[in-house]
Amino acid sequence: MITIHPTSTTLHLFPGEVEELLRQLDGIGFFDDAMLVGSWVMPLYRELFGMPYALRTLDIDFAVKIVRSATSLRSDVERILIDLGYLPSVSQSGIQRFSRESFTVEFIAHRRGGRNDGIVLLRNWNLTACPLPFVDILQRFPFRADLGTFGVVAPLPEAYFVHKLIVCQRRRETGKRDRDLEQCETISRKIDEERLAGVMGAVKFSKPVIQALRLSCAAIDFPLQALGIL
Amino acid sequence: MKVVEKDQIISGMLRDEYQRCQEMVGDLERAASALPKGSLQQRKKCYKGNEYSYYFLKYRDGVRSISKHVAEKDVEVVKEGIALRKKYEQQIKGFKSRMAYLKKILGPDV
Repeated sequence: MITIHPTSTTLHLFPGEVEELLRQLDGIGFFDDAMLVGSWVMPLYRELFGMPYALRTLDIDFAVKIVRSATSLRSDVERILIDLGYLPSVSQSGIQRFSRESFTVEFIAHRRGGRNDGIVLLRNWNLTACPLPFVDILQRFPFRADLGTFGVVAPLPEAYFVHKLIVCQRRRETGKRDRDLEQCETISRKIDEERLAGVMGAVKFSKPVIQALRLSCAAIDFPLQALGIL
Repeated sequence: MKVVEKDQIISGMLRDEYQRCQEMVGDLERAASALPKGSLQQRKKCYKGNEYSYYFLKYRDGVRSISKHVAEKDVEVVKEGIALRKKYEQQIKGFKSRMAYLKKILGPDV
């Protein structure tokens, strides 16, 4: 995994509450199995890769690996969040959420193919996660941002870019799709072609996914050749 | 607000945020409803020269004021439940005030 070390400006990338949360999770080794995803990776991309994007939502998402063999508790993340002042709740669809003031913490996991497995129980972290497709693209290309006293694992921007290009075409809400595309456009300006080729070469895409990539590339005026799609 | 309406990405984000708050209010209200409401009070009574005390939970159900006896062994659980419910209510209030703010920006059709 690539590790990026701090500069003076990267030491306080996140608001206090978020930094406290990330520090605690890093302390228990949560990032061995999980990574920060969603719009909260954008402050990391801005500072570490020079990809400026200011808009972010107030929900903090973590993608967690499903380790089927892990049945014993490694660390009780639910307890840690409650001790940090987060209140647990369960949505009508059974998704576990934790909220504190205006922040909401949610966990997602990779969903294979078209199978709908319902909620995934992560016994080793005492959590449940919402299974979503294409999360593995993010999980296969992590980097660790060493932020001084703690670290955060997030997907490489190129993996995030490909993931967003795909999922934005599956969005029902145009607002979210536009926002995904805007993030892609920001990343595309500073994209590392070698790393992008690495992501594209490691993942096998179905025809509908390639079609989604085509549509998204056309929307942001990104050359398909750079994705290795002709 | 016309300015926000002009930018689809920002207005979309604010609408998403409004929706998220709405969902969170629903989830938190559901979680809070499983917890005891009202306040725990202690009452002392003298009977045949001895003083006894017992706890009861006092809460409102519509216009009615209800007092419900709480067994000694359940007192701590009820106290914790009430404190937790207050935390949930505090968060619900926070999300509702955020929704009111967003509604002002996005207009009544949000």
